[in-house]
Amino acid sequence: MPEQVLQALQLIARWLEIIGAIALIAGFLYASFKCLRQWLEEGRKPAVREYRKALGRTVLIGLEVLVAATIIKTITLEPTAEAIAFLAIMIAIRTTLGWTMVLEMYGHWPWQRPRSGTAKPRTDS
Amino acid sequence: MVTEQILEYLEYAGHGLSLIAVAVIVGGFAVAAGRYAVRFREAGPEKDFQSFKMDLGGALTLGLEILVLADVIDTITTEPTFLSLGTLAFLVVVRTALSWTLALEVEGRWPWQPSPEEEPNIDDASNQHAKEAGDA
Repeated sequence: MPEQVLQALQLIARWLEIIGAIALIAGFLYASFKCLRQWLEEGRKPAVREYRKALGRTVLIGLEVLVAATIIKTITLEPTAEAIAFLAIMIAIRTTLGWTMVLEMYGHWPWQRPRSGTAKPRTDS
Repeated sequence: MVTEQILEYLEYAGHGLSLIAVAVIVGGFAVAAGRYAVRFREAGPEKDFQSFKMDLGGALTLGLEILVLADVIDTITTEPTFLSLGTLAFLVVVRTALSWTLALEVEGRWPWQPSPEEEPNIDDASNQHAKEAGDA
């Protein structure tokens, strides 16, 4: 691949990572403020429960973007064993985290069909 | 370059998140201990111990949740090493295990099991069973 294309791809991956990180931070701030307001209005328990859900959603979104960035990185990678190992571990961590988040929030693994009645997050039940 | 600048800010934000996580854990511990101390005289140690544990666990998982956020950001802002990746992997494992076992204690089921509301019969039956066992 021409050098310029590679550099452009690297830049895109970098920006995707930045966007993912910003999404994480913004989601955290938003969830925190919402939690504080809910705490004052409805008390501690529902606020904290909602807070954990909101944090989970934030992590899911952020991870999704980061995985995209990592995939682009695999194209631009200099194929050394170490670099590949880093990417592999990174992807493994990010996917595992995403799966367990889905499991906790929706009560089923991502590859399973939602049980009837649990198509929505458990907040509604 | 612009990205360098942003990454530097993100690094600070990641550190800030870590501190917030610590604050949540410490604060949660203080609140839980305070509540325990207040109720200790009324309910007695055994009865209240359970909710003390739940309070503590809740604060811990919340703090860990934020810590995971911070660590994910850390992997972006710093050049990854095997050590930092290992830390993140370990943190994720700990967080997941803690969150699952805590849910198991609070709700009596693993995250992948259906919630009691969906299968009231099974739940009632097991409750009945537990009750009988308790009576005997």
